[in-house]
Amino acid sequence: MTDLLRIGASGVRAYQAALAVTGDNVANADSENYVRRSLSLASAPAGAGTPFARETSAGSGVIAGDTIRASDSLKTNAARVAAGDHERFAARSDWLKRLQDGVTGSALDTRLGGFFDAGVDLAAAPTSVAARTIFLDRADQAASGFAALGANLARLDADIGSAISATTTQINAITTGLARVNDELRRTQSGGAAANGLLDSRDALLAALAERVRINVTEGARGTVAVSLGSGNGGAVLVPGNGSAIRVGVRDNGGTPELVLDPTHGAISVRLPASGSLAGLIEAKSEVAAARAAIDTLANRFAIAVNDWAQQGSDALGDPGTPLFSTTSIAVTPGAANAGSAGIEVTLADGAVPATDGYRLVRNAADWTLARIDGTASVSGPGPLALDGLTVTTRAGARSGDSWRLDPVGGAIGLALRPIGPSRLAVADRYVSDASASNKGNARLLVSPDASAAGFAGTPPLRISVTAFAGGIGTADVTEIASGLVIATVTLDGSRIAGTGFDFGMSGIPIVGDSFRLLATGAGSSDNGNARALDRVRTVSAAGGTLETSLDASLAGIASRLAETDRLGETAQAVRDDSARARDAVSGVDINQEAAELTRLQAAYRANAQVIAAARDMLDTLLGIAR
Amino acid sequence: MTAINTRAAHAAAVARLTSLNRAADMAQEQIATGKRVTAPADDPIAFTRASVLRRADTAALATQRGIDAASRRLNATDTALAGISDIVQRARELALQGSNGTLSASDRDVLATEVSELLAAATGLADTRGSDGERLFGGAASAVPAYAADADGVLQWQGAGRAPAVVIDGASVSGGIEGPDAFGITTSTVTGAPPVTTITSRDLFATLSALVGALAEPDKTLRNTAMSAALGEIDGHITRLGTARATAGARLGRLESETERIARTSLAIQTDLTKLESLDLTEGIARLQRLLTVVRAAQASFVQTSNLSLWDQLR
Repeated sequence: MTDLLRIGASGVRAYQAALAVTGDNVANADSENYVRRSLSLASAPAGAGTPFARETSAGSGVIAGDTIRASDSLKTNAARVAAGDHERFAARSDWLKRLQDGVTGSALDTRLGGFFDAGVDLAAAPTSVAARTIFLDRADQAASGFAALGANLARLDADIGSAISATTTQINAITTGLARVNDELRRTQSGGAAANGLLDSRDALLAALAERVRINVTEGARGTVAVSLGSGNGGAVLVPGNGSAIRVGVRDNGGTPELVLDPTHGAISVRLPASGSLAGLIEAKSEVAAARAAIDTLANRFAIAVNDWAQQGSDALGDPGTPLFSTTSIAVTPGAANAGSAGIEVTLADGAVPATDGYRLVRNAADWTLARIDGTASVSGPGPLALDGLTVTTRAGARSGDSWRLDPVGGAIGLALRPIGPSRLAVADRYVSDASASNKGNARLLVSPDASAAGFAGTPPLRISVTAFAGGIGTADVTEIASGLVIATVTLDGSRIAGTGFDFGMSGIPIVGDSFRLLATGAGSSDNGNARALDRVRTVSAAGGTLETSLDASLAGIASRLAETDRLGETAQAVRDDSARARDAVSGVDINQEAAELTRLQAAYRANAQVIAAARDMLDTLLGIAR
Repeated sequence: MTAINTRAAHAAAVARLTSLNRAADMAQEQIATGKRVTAPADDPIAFTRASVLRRADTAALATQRGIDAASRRLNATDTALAGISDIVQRARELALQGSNGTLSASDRDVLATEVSELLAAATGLADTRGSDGERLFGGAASAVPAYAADADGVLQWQGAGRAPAVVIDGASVSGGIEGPDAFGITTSTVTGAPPVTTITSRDLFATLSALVGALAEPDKTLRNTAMSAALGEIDGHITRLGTARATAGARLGRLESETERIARTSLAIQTDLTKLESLDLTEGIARLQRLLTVVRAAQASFVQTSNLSLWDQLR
């Protein structure tokens, strides 16, 4: 009889516990990382059969066993891997989109096109001050477009660098957390609520880690885990089954970022598996670095080509043209430990060549010191400091010991329009030529400036008179018009004839007696030869095509990689969603299922209570007999 | 039996609704901008092709501005040449009148005065300036008058080089006529000892000066020789001016046909751009309608299915 009471009581206790687990499931239906639990029920073991214990012939009731987490480690792992793959594409897509927006937002192609189109307008109105001013403005816009894009990409590069270091910090925090969870798990009896809670935290940490980097998880006793990098065994260990986690870091290895273990001590370089947001970030950083290199190359090419072009011509005052762009500017980096709030202004004189190592500006107790990094020269004083064409204007608010680093930068960031007035723009050719109106032949004289040419001596104006010509070969006398002296006799055979500072050739067929003049372009010329030659800068094709098609190709490259990343990302997302669904089908809470469970357990509980009532009735009956 | 995780099912349904909304939003943006490609990654190839086309279009506009400037200059040149042609025609009439032996010296003086005036007018027209102040007949030189008297008082061409040209797709078309081509040049040879300077050709201005001199010549024989020489030279100048005007006209015609070609190319570029970038509005709107219908249906079914719960039946 007492056995029946005990059996009923054990049933009531067991189902109460089971109801509590179900209630917990329902309460946690919306908790992330919560894994559905169920209580395992088992019949109590048979006993010795002593008078006060129980009869061996009857059962001994039910006992509540372990609380079981409904988790499938294979499905959980698949979901983790899929989430990591998706995170990689999501991170890459995010940063590539910013890169694309940066390049399209700079409107560099429009600015370059505008510059060259202004060159065509300049050729149409060579003497117009308005056309020259507009051309210089367009040149300024093209240069500032390059500089702004360069600065933008440098910022993007730095931002990705911050994102990468933030990600490694998170990875280290997660692995440290996992090592601690391992410690706790070793101390905790499995099957209890505490152990299950720890396992939930463990899975949450593993999921968070797998979103950042691809990991391989090996489960040990009581649910402790050993975590290594990569997809198989043998990868670098991040969290050992027993012991503290190993930190990771990302360092720059000659322009390409690489993952290292234990960065603060003996850093060991390891291969980063292609999954997780860290991989995506590092890939995006390489893309940005490639885009920066491409834009810098393009900026240098543009500056060199346009400067060469400008120097070929003659300006409105009849002087040889000067370069349009300066290719170096100064980047100012305030010292990390600066206590004051002073800003400084740095200007670089036109044409100055700063030391390549850079400069350091230091605030002393009384004044300032500007010194070359290599220590070969320095200036001190209170006010504006000048060194190597560099002028530093200091502002109030600096504390003694504050320092600034001044570095010369080239490439896109360094590009700027030099201070050039409209009249100094080289629109005309350096030399012009004309044919005498009494010429019988159709030949023309084609002159180009060539600083290295060292043929006959004699300064223009010169007259070239054809003295003999037959079968494509002839001779001509070169007369200095000012003195009337014949200074050279040259052979006309189709090759270029060198003078001093120029060379010339003849096109067409001259007739003996024809004469040509070769003149230096004077002031106020309306010649547009050099402005027309700007079209050659536009159409000249180097590696990657013309300037503009190279830019297009860079942008198209970024765009197509972004489009590809987005496509791969969509697939990865579908896989992630599917595998997450498969995992959740096992470990998630379905409240309808829980409702059914609740009804079932309630019925069982009620039935066990009835067993107790029946046992009591039986006892009452027996006690009634004895009375 | 597969359990349906309540939380995941809910999140998945919301994600589906979000992605439908995003698709509808994108369709709306395409309709609002009228463009199929709004960012390079939408279609990298079309985007690159479109930027090449846009660049070609703006470059064509710049070329067109250059053609317009050259046309203005050639038109102004033609007008000046027409004025000078009239002057030379009048000078020819005066020379014919002056060749008449019955004229008295004072009559010839009147004629000479008029020729002097014509010479001054022609000299003025030869220094005509264009819209930017450039000398139309000075070739590439613009800072000095196209014609100025030298130490001997003889009018000489001060220009240099050739008139600025306009480049159209690699070919260059000259935007003017140089002075010597329109008005001839004065040349002389020096022979014998003691040196004797013989004029071998005269430019227009020298011819008119010579005509003035011939009209003033008292000796009848010398005058007749000089007059007939001047008449011959004037005929040559009329021919040369005609040739120069024809050249200017031919260049204008070339520029005009280039203008038409550029307009046609522009139209072709615009058509291509439309094909590459533009959205078929009908299709776009139909797609948006379809998306909106799906969004509404998805919302309704989400509400219906999430209402289904066993918990409602527990009493």
